[in-house]
Amino acid sequence: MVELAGPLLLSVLMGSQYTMMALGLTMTYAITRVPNFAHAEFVTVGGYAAVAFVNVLGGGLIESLLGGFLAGAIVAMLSDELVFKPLFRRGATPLHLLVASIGVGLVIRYVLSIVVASYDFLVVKSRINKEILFSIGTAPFTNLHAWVLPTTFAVVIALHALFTQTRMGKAMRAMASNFDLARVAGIRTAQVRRWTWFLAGGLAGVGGAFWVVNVPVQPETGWGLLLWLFAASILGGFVSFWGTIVGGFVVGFAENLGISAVHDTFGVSLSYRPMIALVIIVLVFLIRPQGVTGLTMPDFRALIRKWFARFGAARGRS
Amino acid sequence: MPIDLSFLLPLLATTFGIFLILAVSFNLEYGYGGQANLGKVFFYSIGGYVAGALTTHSLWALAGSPADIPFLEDAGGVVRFAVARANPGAILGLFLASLVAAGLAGAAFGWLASYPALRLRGDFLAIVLIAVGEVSRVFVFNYEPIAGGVFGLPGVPNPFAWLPPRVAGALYGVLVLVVAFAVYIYAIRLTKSPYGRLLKSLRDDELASNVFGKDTPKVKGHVLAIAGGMAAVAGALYVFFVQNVYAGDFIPLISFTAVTMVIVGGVANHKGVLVGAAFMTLLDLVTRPVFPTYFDIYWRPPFDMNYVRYLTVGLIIIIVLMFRPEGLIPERPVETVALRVARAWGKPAVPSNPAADDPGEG
Amino acid sequence: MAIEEQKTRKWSPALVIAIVVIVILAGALGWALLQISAPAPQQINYPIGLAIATTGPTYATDGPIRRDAALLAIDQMNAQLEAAGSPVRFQSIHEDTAGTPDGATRAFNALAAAGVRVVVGPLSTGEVSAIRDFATQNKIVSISPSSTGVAAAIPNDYVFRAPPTDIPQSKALAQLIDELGFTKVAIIARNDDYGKGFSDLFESTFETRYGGQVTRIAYDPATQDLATEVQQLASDVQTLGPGANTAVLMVAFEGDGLEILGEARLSTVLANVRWFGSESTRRTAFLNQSAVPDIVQFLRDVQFTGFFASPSLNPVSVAFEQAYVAKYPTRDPKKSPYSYYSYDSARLAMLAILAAGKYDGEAAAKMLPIVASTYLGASGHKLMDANGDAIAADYTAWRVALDANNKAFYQEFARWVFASETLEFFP
Repeated sequence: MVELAGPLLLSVLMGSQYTMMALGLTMTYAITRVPNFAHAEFVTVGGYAAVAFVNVLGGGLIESLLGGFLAGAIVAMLSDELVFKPLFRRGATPLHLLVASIGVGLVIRYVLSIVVASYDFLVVKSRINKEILFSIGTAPFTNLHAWVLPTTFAVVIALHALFTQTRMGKAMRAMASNFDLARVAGIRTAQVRRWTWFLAGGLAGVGGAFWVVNVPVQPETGWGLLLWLFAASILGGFVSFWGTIVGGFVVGFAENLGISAVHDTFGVSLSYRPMIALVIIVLVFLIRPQGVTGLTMPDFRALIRKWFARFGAARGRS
Repeated sequence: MPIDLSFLLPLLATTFGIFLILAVSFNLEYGYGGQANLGKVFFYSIGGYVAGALTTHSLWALAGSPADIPFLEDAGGVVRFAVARANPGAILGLFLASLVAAGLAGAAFGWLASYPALRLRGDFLAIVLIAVGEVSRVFVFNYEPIAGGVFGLPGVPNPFAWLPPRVAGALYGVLVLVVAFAVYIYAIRLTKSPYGRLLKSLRDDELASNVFGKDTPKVKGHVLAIAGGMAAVAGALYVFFVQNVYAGDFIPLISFTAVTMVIVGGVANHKGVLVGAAFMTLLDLVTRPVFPTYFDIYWRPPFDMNYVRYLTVGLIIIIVLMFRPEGLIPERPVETVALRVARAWGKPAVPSNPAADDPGEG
Repeated sequence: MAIEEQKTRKWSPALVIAIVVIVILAGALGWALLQISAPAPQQINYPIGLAIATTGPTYATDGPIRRDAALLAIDQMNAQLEAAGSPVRFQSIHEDTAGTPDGATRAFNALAAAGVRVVVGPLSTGEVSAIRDFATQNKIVSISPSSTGVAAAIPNDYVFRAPPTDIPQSKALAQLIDELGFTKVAIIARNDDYGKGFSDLFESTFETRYGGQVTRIAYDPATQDLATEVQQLASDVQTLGPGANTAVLMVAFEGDGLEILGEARLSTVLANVRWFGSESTRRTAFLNQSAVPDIVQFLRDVQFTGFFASPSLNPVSVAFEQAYVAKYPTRDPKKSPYSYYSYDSARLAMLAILAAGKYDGEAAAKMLPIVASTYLGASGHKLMDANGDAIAADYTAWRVALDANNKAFYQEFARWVFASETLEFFP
């Protein structure tokens, strides 16, 4: 349907943005076992840094991305060095780290609030604006599309290369799969941690930098996105790189194409939008408890066969 | 202005009581049952919706269902308050009925939640439950018939509304504490019983429990049902305190508060939940900008004190975790007869591992 | 799990954090104690509670402005009292409510525990509903500077509201849109008590009185990216028929308004219809040439129009604006239309206490309507109706135009007379 071309393009854009922001979350959980509820604050920090670089320091897109990356990366690294790593060393369970990350999130968010409020910088948007490059019917293809899609693609390729080709990447994967064994094998876990958090925070920060091209940033920006980032990450089982990408796009599509389709077909109000992505998550997990990790074509066929069998059995039983 | 205890004590009592029930509920599921229910607010909200709907509709019917006054708006609320004040028996009865109904509804949903709980890994379950809570919140927020949608449902009167307001507030605070302690004692009895040891065995090594013939799915279902019922009771108590129902109040932060209380207080530890709930209640009060004024200290900082408040809450949580990661009161072994006897012999009892290890798959 | 590390480092991160926190807290405490000047022997402190949300998706940006306006009123009053030799001083206590009924209830309880009996706030109608009974039963006056929902208009309670309800504004808007020749309106409104309440009022007036046709798009107020909603709006406009008879009505605050406008300016369909906005959309942030030039251009293209309840040439408004800028040099009170009401709410609260001659909630509640009846403030007159809400006065219609220096501003071009419900266009 041509009418849904607009939401489709939006879905692709938002999916890419969610993917970029959620990849870091998956990384920090998989590699350092921290379910980080402060992850979204890196996005907020990155957004503010990007606006500062553009509006105040007069830079362009590249400067804003760099600024966002650095801001997110530094804050992330500090969080790990000061809080998560020490706790981990003392044997904190993931739930402990989760609670700690809530505390860290509060600290970041409100320090940021105090600072930006005192500079009257509370709600700001980047001077770089979203512009339409061309339209497909009524669907606008914007400069944001032209920047975000390739960047996300490049990031995915780069991360894949990192994980498979470089020593650091392989060390990360080793830590993710078995921490103690990794240490025994001589991997310098502290250094790998630093890199992991640096990258994770940096990616979130870049996500924030792109976010402020579209939408003004305010202290609660990240916190409002957190659940969606977790949703994206969880589809990948929290540990799967490709699963997170699928997750990001599932969320992006649900939120745009999904709600538009439901609105057009059933007249459901758009204010139900926050529900759609989450409903899909719940359904996915009820159907397949492992999420979308390790899914291949034969798995699909097996899944469908299993569901038909289950329905048949249920009917047979009643 | 000097401190006005006639407001402060009921506020503290009510907050503490509700927090305690939430903490006990989470502790039961996680500390003893090994399943981290991060979607606690969903069960809490169920209690709130049930209590709110039951009370408002019953009071409305009692008032003769006036057709010219809108049910959802404040005018409707005023009618309900008037009816409650005129009929003490009705509102007290409705309160009790609401508690029971809420508990049952929460238990039912808890039992239902055990189905995904069985199939999903711990962290997946956590996110799914958070998601369910948010779906429910957005749905109720948009769909007016349940809890007033975007406007909320005013007019859920305090069960003692027919008494002078300070007395009503104070009595309600006492009532909340009574209910909270009842729940607390129930949880203690549950966990000190053989059932409690069963839960712990499930948490520590599910496979071994299975080998010994314990029906783990059923037990998990039980735990979630009981804990769900408790959380729903807390939700019912809550709506009678704020005297309205609003879907937007039931946010994930409430679940996280429950988790924080248990982790900070000490997992699988009954003194721990008391400490955790007290900690959270006091933290909430002491960091408020109004707190210094209780001691006639007035000052106005050049920044928003509320920012500092949340900042301080975050810092204190981090600090407590850093210095006592096992919680303020760590877990101790279950008091069995054998343990007591062994202690009496003067031999040091072997402490069981504090619940610092992964509590097992959910 | 993790292998225990020997803590050989002296400065473990935990220790560092603890030291930092202790230093900060000690410093703050010391600074605070220094700030407390020993009160003059006869100084009487009257606390004014501010239950104003400054966190949360809705009020993180608006709340601080309204809080600052109230603080300005309190400081001005204290200076005036000092100059007059009075021993009374008003002390402000600002409790954040996060914009939720739960937060409002807890804030009121905590404030009441400090002996506060007069509160400015809460901001939203939902919060007002939540605290109404508590305030009334416990004789605590609440003056809301921005609640406008019809649902909360109740007589004989302790809740007063500085702005009028949405009823007259929605009538004025419907009438203006009709008189300007539009028969179809596509609404995009935030889905909360304000947005839904206002849209409901507008829709019923526009459809029943003027036989118009309305479509509605509601968006969750916490959503940050509204591109999908704006696309749907464009499609609604096309369905209605994008001719000269179709208009758009936006009911939003600042953050969501910026997002909607930022998306809408990219749509040719939406750029070719006339746009109207509720009172809450009259924001200087939309006209900020340096920050959002494209939005400014868009608003001019669509002749963005709306109403505002406060006559802007009121000398008290001007005085307020000047005092605000003098106190907060980097900020602009015009950023929030409700900063004026917030200032007036605080001032009315203080005047009521002074008129009562003592700090007492019941007395203040009785004096407040009396004091308000002849009060002319930054947001106009505050004569109250039986519900304790300000009676509406005339409304002025504004639209976006350029002044002599090519700077965009809100130009007033008509007045809606409240008494006769007629529109008078300025020449």
